[in-house]
Amino acid sequence: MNRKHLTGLVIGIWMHGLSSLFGQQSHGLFFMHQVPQANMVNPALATDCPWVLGIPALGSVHGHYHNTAFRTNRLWSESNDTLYWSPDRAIQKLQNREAIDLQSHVALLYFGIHTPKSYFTFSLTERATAYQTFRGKAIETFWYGNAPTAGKPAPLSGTRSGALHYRELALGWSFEPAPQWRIGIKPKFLWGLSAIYTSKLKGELQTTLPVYALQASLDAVVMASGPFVFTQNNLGELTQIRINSDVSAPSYLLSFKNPGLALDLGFVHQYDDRTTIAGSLLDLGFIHFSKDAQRIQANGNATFDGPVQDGNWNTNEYWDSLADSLIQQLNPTIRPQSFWMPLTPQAYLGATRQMTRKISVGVAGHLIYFPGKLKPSMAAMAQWNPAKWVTGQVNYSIQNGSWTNVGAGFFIRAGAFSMFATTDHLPALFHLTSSRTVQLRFGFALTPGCSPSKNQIQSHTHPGAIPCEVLPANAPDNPRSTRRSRR
Amino acid sequence: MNQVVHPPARSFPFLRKKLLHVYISLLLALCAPACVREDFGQLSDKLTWSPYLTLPIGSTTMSINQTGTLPGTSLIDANQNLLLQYTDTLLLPDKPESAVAYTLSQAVARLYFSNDFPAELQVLLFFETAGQMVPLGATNLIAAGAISNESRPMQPGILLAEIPLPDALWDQSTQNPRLILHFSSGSIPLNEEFIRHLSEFKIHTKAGLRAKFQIEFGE
Repeated sequence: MNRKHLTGLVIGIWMHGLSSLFGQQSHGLFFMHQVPQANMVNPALATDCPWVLGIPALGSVHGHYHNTAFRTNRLWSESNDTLYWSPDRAIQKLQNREAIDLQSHVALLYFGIHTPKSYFTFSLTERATAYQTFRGKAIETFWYGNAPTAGKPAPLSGTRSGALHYRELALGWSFEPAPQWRIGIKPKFLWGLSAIYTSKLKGELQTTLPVYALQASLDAVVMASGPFVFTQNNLGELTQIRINSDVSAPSYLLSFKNPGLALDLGFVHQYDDRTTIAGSLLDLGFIHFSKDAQRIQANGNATFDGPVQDGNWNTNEYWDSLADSLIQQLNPTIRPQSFWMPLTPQAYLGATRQMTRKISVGVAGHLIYFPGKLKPSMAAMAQWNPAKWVTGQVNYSIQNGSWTNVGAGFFIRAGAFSMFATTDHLPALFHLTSSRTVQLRFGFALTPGCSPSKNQIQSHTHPGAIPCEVLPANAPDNPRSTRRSRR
Repeated sequence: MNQVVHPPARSFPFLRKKLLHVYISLLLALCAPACVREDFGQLSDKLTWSPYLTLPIGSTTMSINQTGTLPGTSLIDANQNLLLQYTDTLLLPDKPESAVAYTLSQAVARLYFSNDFPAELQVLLFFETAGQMVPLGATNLIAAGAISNESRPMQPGILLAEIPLPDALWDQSTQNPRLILHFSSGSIPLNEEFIRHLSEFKIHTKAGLRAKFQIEFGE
């Protein structure tokens, strides 16, 4: 990478910022308590099966894309069977603060087993997230030019970016501390594979009058760890960043050098015969990146008056001169430094109520905390159990500023095999490029010895949304059977 | 004797293939409508960026050094008066390396002059590309600077000028575009005091460009 690329990086630092969007929310799955993998969004949930084995690499697969700014198909226009980049339609709709985030996870291994009083889970999950937050005005200024805003400062704060790839080993324990209550706790051991994020960004850009000198003030720090190569000159200035192609995929994927810890908590409370309340607090933790960890810092004030100063030309090309001048003045430097990268905690709280023998409804709220910003969402659902081996769900959610999210999900158990799929925005799966939110979660598992006809009580006294215990319904120490017998 | 025939046991590879088949079928069922709807192979790599930019061109300073000579040309007329004749060149934005097409329209050069000398200045502008000079016109006269009783610069004459640049100047063939400024003054009496402080007199020029750019990328 030459200085032009580095200019891109510097501009990237300007345009980027940290507002982690690391949550992997799934309202649909939160309501589907009978799905074994729902334990991943509420560690208190215990399946009604003696044990569960997720199909390797397919036990739980999650993909999420969200863009508050624009629909992807607004980036281009079609003419003569060709799509041409034409982002005007997207840029014209930008608001002050926008965010784009991508999330995914794949449960490489998933296993759960009951003991008489507890339910234990073990999972090994690969997780990757990336996000970008930006100010609409900054993008407008870049795309349409600075002429209309000459003389006005443009703040850079609020524009950040980040990406994180890590591996998670989770050990969950769900138990009943008291009748009608089930508590779940899940410590998670993390290994960071790569990360890059803007930990600090302050500054502004301005085109001054009367003759349009460009001024920039910048105080930015970017932390990075992963297969990157940083090149410095004799003065310690960063001159080049590139992906290290010498690092093989196995050596990258098998790295366990950046440890971290996190904790998930959850509860389920059987409020009455028909109503269940559940909640969870997820991803409380950090990863400590030390392998190849670098701190990239740019700090300074830069002014570009033009390539000709007092009659002396410093280059024969205008654009190179602009890039060189800004880089020299902002002085990007790099030095090794380990860093802590927080996960983004999130919380669910919801309730379900069994309306008829086959239909239950529920509502839930979800909060996710980004540094400096709390992002709420809400969902309502109706769930239908037409037979003991199948569950269907429709849900509606208000999330990411959108009021038009209609989702769906299903769960099927056929013998020793079960599968589920759920989405919070069903139309997006059929119109990917015209959707701001695309979310899909699905999984396959082996659930031998789990016969709904034996262990799962399908009646109005046993809401389908509550976790099912291994204990037979008529066992003397089963709180539900006790409650029924009292009547 | 009846013989019980057991069906062949289904091997793990069979199950694996079956599961993968189900998995891939599910994904295809979900993704196919979207994939059919948008064929990303149709997406062109062409991008046209049409910003309305203001950019600094540069600044120059003309001064007379201690030996009394100008970096440009100075003339002493028959009455021992100083006549400033000075030419300077400013670099204009050229075609970015990765661009395949590059044009400018509605371009305006914005010029800021500060004149210490006690004489009005006339500025003529030229556009130069590939060795060809295109006259662009003249600015208004830059006012003479005020001097103190000791013949030192006291209050410069200021002029802010905007000169439209013809659209035809920038096209595919434009190479290393430059703005040439030619200064000329009325006569300045060369008295002893003035000559003593001559090195303190300067003409500052700052220039910027405001234009609608159209830059095309991609083959």
